[in-house]
Amino acid sequence: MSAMILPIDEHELHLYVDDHLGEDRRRVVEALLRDHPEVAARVSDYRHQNELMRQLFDPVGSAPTTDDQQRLLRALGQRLGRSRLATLWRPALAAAAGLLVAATLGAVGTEYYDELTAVVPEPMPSFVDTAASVHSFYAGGASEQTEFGADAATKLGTLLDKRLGAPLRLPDLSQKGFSLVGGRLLPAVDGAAAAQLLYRDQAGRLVTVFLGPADKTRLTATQATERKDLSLYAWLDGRIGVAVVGGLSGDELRGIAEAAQRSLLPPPSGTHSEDRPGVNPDKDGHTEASRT
Amino acid sequence: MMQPALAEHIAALRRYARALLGDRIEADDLVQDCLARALSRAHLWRPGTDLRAWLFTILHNIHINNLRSRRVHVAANEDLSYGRSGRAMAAPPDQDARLELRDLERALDRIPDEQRQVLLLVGMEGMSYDEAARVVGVPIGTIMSRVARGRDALRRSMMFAEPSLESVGDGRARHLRRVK
Repeated sequence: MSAMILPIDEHELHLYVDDHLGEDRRRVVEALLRDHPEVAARVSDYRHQNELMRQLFDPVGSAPTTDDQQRLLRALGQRLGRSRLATLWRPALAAAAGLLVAATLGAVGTEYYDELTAVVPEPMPSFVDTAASVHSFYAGGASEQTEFGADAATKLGTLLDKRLGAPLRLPDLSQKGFSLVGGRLLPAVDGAAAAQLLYRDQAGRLVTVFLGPADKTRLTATQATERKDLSLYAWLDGRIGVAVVGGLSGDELRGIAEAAQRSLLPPPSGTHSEDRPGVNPDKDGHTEASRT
Repeated sequence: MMQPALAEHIAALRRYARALLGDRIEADDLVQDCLARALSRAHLWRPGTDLRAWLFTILHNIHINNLRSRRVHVAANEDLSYGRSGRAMAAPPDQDARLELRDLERALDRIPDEQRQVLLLVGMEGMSYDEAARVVGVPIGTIMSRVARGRDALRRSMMFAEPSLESVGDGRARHLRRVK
């Protein structure tokens, strides 16, 4: 056994220190630490650093806030409570029980939730509205950020399969010069999920492919929409509603959406059709375009 | 009465700001600026996203702006970290532990601001590396190397701290003896 070649890298060691490793890797690291007391000493020191930082500064957090801070806090609490309902896909909040709220909005306590449910729901934003605000929010800033990197796309695809209740392949937009940056799951109705996939071209332009359960979209036909600075194109693909959003011209976006549509069709060989009961594209739904 | 979860995030923000800046008044100002900006941008926060990460990102951005504008005014050769003179010991620890805490505090003072940010977010706040990457706005690989460098620097700094560490509390063999 070679003492010098470690089966883990430095970064993994730090992930271990912070308890971010999965069970398997944790065991590997622990085995290594048993054989390498000098590495174990470092790990122990690093953990001790974390502990000392908490000891030093925990009391600061629990010290009384200033009056100004208190006033701002109250206002912020109220405002966040309101903005929560004014956004995202309202069915996600209105129809889902506290379970979903607790699971996906874990950052917010129950008191918060009560305040929310007391608000009379306004008309639901449409599927394309939601797609537009998701795109604006996550791709509107200086840097796009996703929960899953492009390399974890397969994992996201699997998660989507489960949560959307329909098998799904990730749209391939390479033909149009866009590659997958990553994606994120978002709450939808009845324990289902919506998802955002983010694509970027060489010029750094971003396009969102937004996916949600078809029966919640209220889409009947393909819908092409242009807003101030966004173009949208949405359609149904079996049990999944798909919207493509980007700050591009309507024509260019439509081209990209059509590429996405094509790449989502079942393979022509038909070998997979048995496995894909959920994706039987409704040909009629694809042909009728409406401008809104 | 404010929401419990929000209250927790604010406690974390205050702890973080204080550890970052070392100065109570500056830390209070930073948190207050953060809350004010969060309030003016509350409509941008989306359900289903991480409220803590959102608040920390706002605080981080203000902090970075402050650093930049400060730097214009300070002498060019001054350290990037600033205003770290009055870092008060926040905890009233017992005698032995006090020395170790003081050493850590000094060691934190000496590392670059960007390493300190990440060590605090990951080590003290328990954020995932991914969350810290979002807050600081750098790739996760950068977070990892900052964590590694920051921890090494703290460790070295604590190793060469005063010999009084030998007497520290739990009787564990402490850092001093591990110098190769």
